[in-house]
Amino acid sequence: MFHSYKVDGYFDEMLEEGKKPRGHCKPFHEKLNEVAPEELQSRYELAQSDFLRQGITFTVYSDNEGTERTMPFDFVPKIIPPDEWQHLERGLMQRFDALNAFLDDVYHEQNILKDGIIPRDLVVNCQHFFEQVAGIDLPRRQHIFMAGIDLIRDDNGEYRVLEDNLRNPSGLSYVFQNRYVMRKVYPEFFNQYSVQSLEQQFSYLHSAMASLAPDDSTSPTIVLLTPGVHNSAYYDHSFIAQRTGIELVEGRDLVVRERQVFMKTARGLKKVDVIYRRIDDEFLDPLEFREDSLLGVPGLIDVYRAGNVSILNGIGNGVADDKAIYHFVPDMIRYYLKEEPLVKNVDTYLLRYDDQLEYVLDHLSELVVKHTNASGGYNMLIGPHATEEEIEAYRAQILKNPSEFIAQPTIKLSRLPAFKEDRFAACHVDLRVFIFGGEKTHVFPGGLTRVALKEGSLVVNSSQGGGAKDTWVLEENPIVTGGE
Amino acid sequence: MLSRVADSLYWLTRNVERAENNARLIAVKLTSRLENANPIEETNQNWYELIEISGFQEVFDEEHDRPMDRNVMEFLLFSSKNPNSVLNTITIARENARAVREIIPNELWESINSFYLKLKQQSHTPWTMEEVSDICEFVKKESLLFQGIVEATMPRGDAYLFMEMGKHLERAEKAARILDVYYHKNLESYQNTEIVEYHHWWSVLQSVSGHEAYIKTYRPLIKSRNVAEFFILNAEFPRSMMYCIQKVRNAFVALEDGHVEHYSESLAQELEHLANDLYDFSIEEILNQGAHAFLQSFQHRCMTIGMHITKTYYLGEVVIP
Repeated sequence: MFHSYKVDGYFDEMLEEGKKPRGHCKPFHEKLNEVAPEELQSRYELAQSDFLRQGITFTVYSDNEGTERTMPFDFVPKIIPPDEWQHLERGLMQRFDALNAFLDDVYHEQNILKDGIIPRDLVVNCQHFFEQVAGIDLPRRQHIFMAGIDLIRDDNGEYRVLEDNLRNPSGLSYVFQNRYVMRKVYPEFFNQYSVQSLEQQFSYLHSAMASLAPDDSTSPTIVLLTPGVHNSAYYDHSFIAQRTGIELVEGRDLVVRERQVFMKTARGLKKVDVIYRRIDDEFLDPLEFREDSLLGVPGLIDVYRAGNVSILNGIGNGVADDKAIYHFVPDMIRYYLKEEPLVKNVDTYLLRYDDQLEYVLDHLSELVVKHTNASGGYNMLIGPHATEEEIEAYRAQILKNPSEFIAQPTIKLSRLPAFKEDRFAACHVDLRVFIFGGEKTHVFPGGLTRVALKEGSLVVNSSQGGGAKDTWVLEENPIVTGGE
Repeated sequence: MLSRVADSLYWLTRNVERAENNARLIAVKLTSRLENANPIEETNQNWYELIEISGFQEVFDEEHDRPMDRNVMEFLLFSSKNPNSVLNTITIARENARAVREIIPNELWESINSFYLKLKQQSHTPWTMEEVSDICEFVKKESLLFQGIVEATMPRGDAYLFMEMGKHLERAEKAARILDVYYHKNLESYQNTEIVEYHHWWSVLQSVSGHEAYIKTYRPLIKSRNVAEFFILNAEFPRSMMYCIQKVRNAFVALEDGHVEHYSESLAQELEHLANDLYDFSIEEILNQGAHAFLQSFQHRCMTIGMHITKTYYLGEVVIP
């Protein structure tokens, strides 16, 4: 199964050059070699059909009626040894705390702008900066309840942050479902590993939400606000609501009366204290943002301003995960925490600066260029894979408004084996780690490993054919039998 | 519980019940054609009774000149034009379940989801008339599985009670409709009237899976009066109108903890009156007012109860002042 496998100068998370398994992957690798390909195939099909039967799907809007798809699941997990995880965990908490401090600062005193660490116009002109919420003191000054930080590993295997998602990061449910299917369909793979459990995380999640309630609520009513069943992440929403035991509501289920939010129950109105919303800022309240939004609740922002309801994640968080602001996160860590960043950024050019623009325009065929307002792998230029025409068309786009673009060197994303019926292929992966604010910052052990199942492809996004893997954070290193 | 959630739960069971009833009606019709002593008399016109029970004659007439085996089956099982086709009702039920999947047991969601997926697949494959009874059998089994999971896993709280109300109101209304359509059939126009009559009422009883229970009460003597009594007034048979209305009422009483408040007064009264009428009247009194008139009025009262449920619990898109 591994005979045609190539490490090929990329950083492979399972195999070293020469195809020898890394220490912490050795028992798993041995197990893989023991199981017959037909057996793997039939279990692979079992796993996929399990996802379908359970309706663990996301919606793709390629045609008029969205079609439901399951995210392809690959059973070779990403395995993270304990020391590697501890380092990562500390680095991510540090980053999270700095980003949170930044948000609180830009919506209050704006010291970081006054001190000239970040250009003021970059912040105040950002489309996700909302003056409507300036000056509001949030409970525990927590603007971020859940962050999804996307990590990659470079050629040397060093982790780097690719993107901070501080608005509505999705995918938490898949972390759990991948684990459930893995345990159900491939139980013996766990034999020689002690993998950190995910189960107690839900009670953590619930108490984190409760701890962010407005001051006087001792036993707050918490709801998850979803755009509804037709939203592509609806499964994620209903899963989180079910497991944390909170009510799943839509905008039409909520109503504002006398600066309080209520939900419409079969027995009348009930007061709501905390809203974990999965609706974008612009759609939350037609009185303050988009008038045409039917998803939100008229008057909601006024209640938020009065301090009578908590909205998680905070409104206006997009200013901190903006692709241009990203460049300055290491500076934020130094500025607010007086520490050196433990997890690095990917080198990033801001095209608003002439010298950097000039360099990028000269090297388009080597770089990845992204629009600062796009997400999900859309509207980006992957220089090395683009044709001459595509590059020229993109150049024209950039020149129209250079400050809306950033560029990064092509990152040689690390790879992991993925199952392809008769063999294993090396496919690129990244990792979304979920981090929570509350009484204290907390990192979920593991996360969502996304894999570009199309060989050679660098796009791991689920809407573009990416798949998922289970992520194992080890309690301790596995017992390796046989001589090293 | 959110009003929207209560609404979804209520319609979830109504739609599963509707699908099951449709499947049972088709299956019975198929068998009765095989068993009838005078097959020629089972004309295509008889298929039309099923269309009448489904309540969408106009839609069918627009599409088809004559009710033929295949077009009737297609219309009742899979047609997207018929809001009450089995596929449509299960699609709606599945959407309802999806909207409340954090409320219902995971097993229940999985069962309705795979029910839907299999049915959808079936609708895409070319089917023959011979397969229809298998399809009906499949629909009945999946519905029974669904109900079994509800009974075995759901706590008897609000969610369960809204589901109970939906299921039994649907069942009561459908029983009345079935009896109404079949009761006025002009059996005298057939030869061998006695045999035809026997088969006729036998299928009607099968349509609610009541033939076995009927025999235990009335012996294998099939008389229209007895069938009507069994359908309307039997207090023990779970698909009789009396039984179903009693169940709706019990669910309501449980939801309200036995109290009647101002907001639930109209619903309480409607349920009370209907239940009392069924209790007070003998079958002779009912038949004397005319079966058709009684059954029509019963269906109408079920609809009124449905409207009161919607209003009392703010189901659906309700604007709260």
